[in-house]
Amino acid sequence: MRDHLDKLTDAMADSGTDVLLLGRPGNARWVTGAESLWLSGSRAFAPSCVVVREPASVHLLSVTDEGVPADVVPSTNLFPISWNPMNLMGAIAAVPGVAGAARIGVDSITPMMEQMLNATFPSAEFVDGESLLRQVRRVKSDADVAGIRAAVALAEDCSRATLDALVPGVRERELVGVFEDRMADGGVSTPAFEGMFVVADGTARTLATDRVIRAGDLVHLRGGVLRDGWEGWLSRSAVCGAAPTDALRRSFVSWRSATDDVLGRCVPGTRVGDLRARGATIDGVGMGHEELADTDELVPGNVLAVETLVDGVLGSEIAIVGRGAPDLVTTLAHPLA
Amino acid sequence: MEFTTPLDVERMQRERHARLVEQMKAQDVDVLLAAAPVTVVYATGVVVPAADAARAAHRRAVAVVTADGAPPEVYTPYPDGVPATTDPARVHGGLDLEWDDDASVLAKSLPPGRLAVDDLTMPLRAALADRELVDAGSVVSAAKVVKTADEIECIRRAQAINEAAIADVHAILQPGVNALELSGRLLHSLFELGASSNTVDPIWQVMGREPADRPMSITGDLVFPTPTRSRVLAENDLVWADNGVNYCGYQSDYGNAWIVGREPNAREREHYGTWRALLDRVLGALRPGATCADLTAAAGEAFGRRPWLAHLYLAHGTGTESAELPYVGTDLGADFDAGFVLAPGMVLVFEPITWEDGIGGFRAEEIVAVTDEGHEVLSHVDSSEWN
Repeated sequence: MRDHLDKLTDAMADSGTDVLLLGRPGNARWVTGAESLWLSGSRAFAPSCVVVREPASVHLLSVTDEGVPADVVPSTNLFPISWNPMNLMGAIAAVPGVAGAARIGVDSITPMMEQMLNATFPSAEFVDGESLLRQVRRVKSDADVAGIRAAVALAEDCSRATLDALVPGVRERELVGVFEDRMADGGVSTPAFEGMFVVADGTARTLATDRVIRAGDLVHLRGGVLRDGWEGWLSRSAVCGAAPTDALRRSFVSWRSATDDVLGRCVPGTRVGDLRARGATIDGVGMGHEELADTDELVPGNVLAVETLVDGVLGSEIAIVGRGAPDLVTTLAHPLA
Repeated sequence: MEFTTPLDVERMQRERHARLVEQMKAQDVDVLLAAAPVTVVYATGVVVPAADAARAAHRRAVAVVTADGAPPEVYTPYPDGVPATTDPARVHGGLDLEWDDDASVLAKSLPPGRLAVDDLTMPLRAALADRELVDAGSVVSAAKVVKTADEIECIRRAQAINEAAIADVHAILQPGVNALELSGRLLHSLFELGASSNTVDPIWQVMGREPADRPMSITGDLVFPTPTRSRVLAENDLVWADNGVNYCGYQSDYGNAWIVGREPNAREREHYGTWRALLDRVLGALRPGATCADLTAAAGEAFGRRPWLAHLYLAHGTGTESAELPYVGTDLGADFDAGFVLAPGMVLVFEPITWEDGIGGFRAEEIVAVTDEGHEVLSHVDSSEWN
């Protein structure tokens, strides 16, 4: 993980950023490698990780060194959870190198935090640190890719179990439990998101409910895990308790063709917006979901989730951008094929 | 699960909105921009799925509430999560506030006036650079701190589902079981039982009885909670369980202590007895008009220490957030506790502990609502094996 910190401090030097105050769990985990308790949802900004460029150091909000890589965050660099923003400001101000910083990057902000930071560091300018993190995180090392591959492998195993449980009479929400139960069997108790397992009935369905799935229903399945912080997810379409109709098989052929067209363009130099213009949803995959702009140009080491919905068929693949054709990480067969 | 007490979600939504508007007027706020999921859920009743923080930020619901009392504007990527009673003209597609374009669209759509915001992405901060911003925290927390009867019913149901799922977990607790099997069982059961979502990685932490068997601590106190890992549980392990399940946007909070493979001995039962007695003292002091300092005073000491963890609290509020006001016994300090007056409708989760090195100790959580007459315990944690 030390290589992540080295990359980040180089980028801080290039952009003239002296200090980063990070509140987003994915950013903190990417820099430190430290496990933290998984909580659902995003929260209002409060700094939990302080990165100083010179001398390069990381301080982390944690009451223990357990699960905190000592080569990035020595145990002397921990500060405690606080309910009192004044105490939190005190802990940050005590970090060597922060008090004299001219440019401090933050990954989000609240009006209260901005006011308190301005009062505590009156000579500092507070700038966008999130864009910096996005750029640095976007290109993956071999070790990063191995982490993503392991996460995808588990997500596929969980999806297989969910497909096995897709029988007439099962409720959508029960499938969420099946997916996550298998995930725990695989050694992970942190989903990337709660599974979307829904009957595709032509209406906008994004949330699993108590709806009973019947024989012949076309079902969209999307599930994911965070394994050692790395994200793996995929979507598939399947028919419950029956063979796909010929019409549906033809729709799948259209889906495959459209998706392969997009995947074939996941090569260096392609702009993300060009892929999206072909109807695909393109997300960055890394330590949790990663943002990609339409203007971002693909380079080797980018990892993309490519999801398409064609003629009612939903499916996704995860692709690693290389020098030539992309390397597909997802291998789970499509049930409609 | 079947529930006997009625729940009127539409009325809950109406009353929450009215409370937000009342607080906006009281605090001279014209427009409230809610971008943190827990605020959006409170303001609009929309359902958003549980997700890792980065994905939740990427696909977030947003609400704009105005002090004139008009229905809020709702932006969400989950159209099937919008309450059926919401005026479709007020419902818009999701905005990705991680980028300038959508942040700018949102900023331009906001009515004039004094603007309160709960969370700002960097693009949203830039898009609102010409507006004077106030923090939404005080408006939102003042509205949320006193719950309606329907909100309390949601918490009651979330906890009932949680406790029923825990019964399935407890049934497989024995030497040789892996902690992650407990997680799998819990997750499987709670979705069968009708939970809306799971909101925290389930915790089954084995507490080292001797300092040498515990993680290093920068506070000097016990380290709890830590993330769950693969670990085979052995006879005599002292497990502190803690997990949270969501129902209709409201949190439950389950805490209990288990000894794997054997009954608690006399000394351990003494810990439970002490814990029960101190919680009873605290609940005896819990009534409208009491302060949080009355509660910490009633808790006193147990086995020569303050009976809650140094970095946490004797109690915290709960609602759409797993921990929200009121906080009791935190580093906000004694003056904060003394100045916080409890009122009917507030809901607190009490989580005292007892501890002695070499012996271990007891920790459980009870959810309690303040009522006109005193209080009502909403949780039914089964600690019978300690009794």
